Amino acid sequence: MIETGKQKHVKVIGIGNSGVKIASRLYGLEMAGRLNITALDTDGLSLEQSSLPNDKKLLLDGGWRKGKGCGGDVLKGQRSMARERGGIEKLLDGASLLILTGGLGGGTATGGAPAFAGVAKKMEIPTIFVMTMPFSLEGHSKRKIAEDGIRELLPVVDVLLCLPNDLLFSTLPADTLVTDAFKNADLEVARAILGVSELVSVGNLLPADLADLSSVLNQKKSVCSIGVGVAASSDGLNRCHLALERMLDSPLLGGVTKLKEADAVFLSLTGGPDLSIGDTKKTFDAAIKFIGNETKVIIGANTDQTYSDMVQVTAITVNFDKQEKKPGVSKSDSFLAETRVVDWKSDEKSVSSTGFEQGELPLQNISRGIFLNTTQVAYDGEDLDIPTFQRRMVIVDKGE
Amino acid sequence: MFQQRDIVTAIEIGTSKICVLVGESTQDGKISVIGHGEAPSVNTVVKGEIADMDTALEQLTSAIEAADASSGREISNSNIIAVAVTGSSIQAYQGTGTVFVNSEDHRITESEMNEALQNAQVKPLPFGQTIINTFDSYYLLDGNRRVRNPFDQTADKLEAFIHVIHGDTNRIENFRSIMRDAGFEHEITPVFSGIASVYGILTDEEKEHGVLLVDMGAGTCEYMAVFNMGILASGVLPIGFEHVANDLSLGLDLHISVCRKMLIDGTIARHVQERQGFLELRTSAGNLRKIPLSSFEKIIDLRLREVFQIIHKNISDQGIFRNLSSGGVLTGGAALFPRTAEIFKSVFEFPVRVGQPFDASGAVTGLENPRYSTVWGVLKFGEELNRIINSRRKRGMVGAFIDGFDGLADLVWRTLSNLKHSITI
Repeated sequence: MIETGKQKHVKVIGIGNSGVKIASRLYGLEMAGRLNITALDTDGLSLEQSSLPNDKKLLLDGGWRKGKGCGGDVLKGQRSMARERGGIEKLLDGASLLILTGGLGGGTATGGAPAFAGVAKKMEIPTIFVMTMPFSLEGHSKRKIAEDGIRELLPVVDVLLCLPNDLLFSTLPADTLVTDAFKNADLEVARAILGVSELVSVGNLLPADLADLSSVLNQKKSVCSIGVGVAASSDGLNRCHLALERMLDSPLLGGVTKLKEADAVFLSLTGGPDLSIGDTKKTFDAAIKFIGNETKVIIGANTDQTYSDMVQVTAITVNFDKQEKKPGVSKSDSFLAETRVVDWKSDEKSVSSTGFEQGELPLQNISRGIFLNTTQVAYDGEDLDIPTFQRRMVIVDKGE
Repeated sequence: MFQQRDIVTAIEIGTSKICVLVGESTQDGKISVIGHGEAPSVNTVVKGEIADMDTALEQLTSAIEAADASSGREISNSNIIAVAVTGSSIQAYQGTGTVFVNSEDHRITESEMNEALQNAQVKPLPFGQTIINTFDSYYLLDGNRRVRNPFDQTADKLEAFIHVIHGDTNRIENFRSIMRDAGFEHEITPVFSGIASVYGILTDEEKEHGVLLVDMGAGTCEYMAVFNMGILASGVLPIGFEHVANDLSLGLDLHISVCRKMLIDGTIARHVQERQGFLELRTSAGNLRKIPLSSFEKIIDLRLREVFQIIHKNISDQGIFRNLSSGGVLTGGAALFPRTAEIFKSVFEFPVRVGQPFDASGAVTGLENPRYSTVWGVLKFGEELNRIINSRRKRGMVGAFIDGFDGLADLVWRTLSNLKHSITI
């Protein structure tokens, strides 16, 4: 017999400095009660500052890093995570879905996330990675690290959502306090995670699940954005419209036009047991007005005890890459196009500045080894005798 | 009573090993292995081609001697001597030949089939190229009915589609001349390694429903797409498991012999299985080196993935993906490394099994290993060829006359023999 009523056990893991912050923020939200949240970092200090209870935060690789963090070194992050493989497996044991969040561009998250994905894949747990891209003010090098990280992640995760941090501040007035701004940023990402987790949890009214999401995202290379809006009955008369409005205002969505331009939109509505069919219809009718005619819409609706008196509207927009590319080939290249679409302002700057930058020299010594004296094998303009990793400019850790 | 024994000798000069098998046809149409000899190639073969004739000859001679001794000195009585050939020079094309059926009842006779097959072969090869093997892929009747065997069918037009495998004359000749040097005076039949593996390890069901065979050895990687008992595509990539060892050696500053050993003895596979984060090695200086396992995985995965992606591209360019419903079969030494099949599977997104000789019988056993797929296939190919030649001889003058192959001497027939489903793969 097939177990059908099995409770979904959603594991949320925040990794690295920003992951810990997001996890703590998420823990504070009352709707997140059913999520199993854990924060991991190599930096003891960031864990100490977190408001999570002690059993929810774990110091990574204390033996080698001694709680001092990775200092932005991706290799160190990779190594730390490699040493903790056994621990990760224990952590993920029994999970039916893994949502991992963290800030790309740092050491622990960028290096560690692929290891997580690998372990989850082996344990056959579906994965959603919600990663933030660094602020453009953090510099070009960080962005490059983040992009390299994405390249590693893409082939191993089921769903990868990249949220550009720049968008978070786009809606804030310039005189907002810095602490508030960052708090807001974490909160927005936490909400997005919550929204995603709702989207893929068993839709007991209208089904839309992880399979829908990953099948759409896997079709072609795509850019996505997330908007989440929550409203309670106490907020006003029409809580559904309010939630929808808040969703549209959500900075990570990037404006109402995003919905109109999207190639596919996932809409999900979560409410308490008091959710009425009228509310549901009203919300979806209103939401669909914002969505273009050509757009594929996938709708899910859900009720949950923790949402009594509240409704939450989540939208994930997906824009396919306009240049059609064969799936499976050079996924990484098309991702670069994504970041360009998302923050064109910062990119313009970097384009003009690269004119003066010296190109990066590959540190690797390109060689053919034992095939030095043999007939060359050329394919597509590449010498196949040269190791693939050298041609792809992949840096390999030689160990210590 | 004295009876002529049907002895077949199969030889593979591979990048990792030189292997000789001696087999005998049994009454029930199977072949039993009566002799086996093997010698390491000690770097005389690079990417499937012989680089050092002298040393290769030495090794070949010792392998032949071992096989001869174990078979009870039967090699010299061989009816067929077949040798596997491979290398980057080998290419293939699909030829088409058309014949209009003009006879009164429009039924296709053998002579029309032969004519169509001959017409299909007229495409001139580039200078310095020679045909190794030819197979019929399928026939088309009246431009729309696809059949495996058109004999006795009624049609106005018959088109034969054949698969021709050809290679650089001089490089193929190397395989022949080294055999002559080793003391064989018989005509030597070359067989493309990929074809041999098709004979060796595929089941009839797979060949019927369509399958992609990838034979990844130490020096080369052959691939064959087989559908409805005919070959649709084939090719060689001069990349083998030696490349993986070389990549590891360059990437991690290890000696090539250490890398080869780790890949062969399962050290890496075992560590992956146990999910250990690091691999500890003692260097020649006596220090302990810890290398993250992920580095090994990264280098190996990138290389293997690239190989299968190239094959994927070559296959999909020819648009025959829909014909491969039985999935893939992986064989050759690389199949012993578990990750290879996993990557094959993930690149092609269809089921993949590891193939190895399954029906070997006789005095010599222990051939149930992906390493022996090619040489076992060469033996089966040789046996099949032997059977066909025998059956033609027995039929005598009248039989040959009816065939339309009249007047062809045995030797000529032998070179043409690959044609027509005379050889059923």
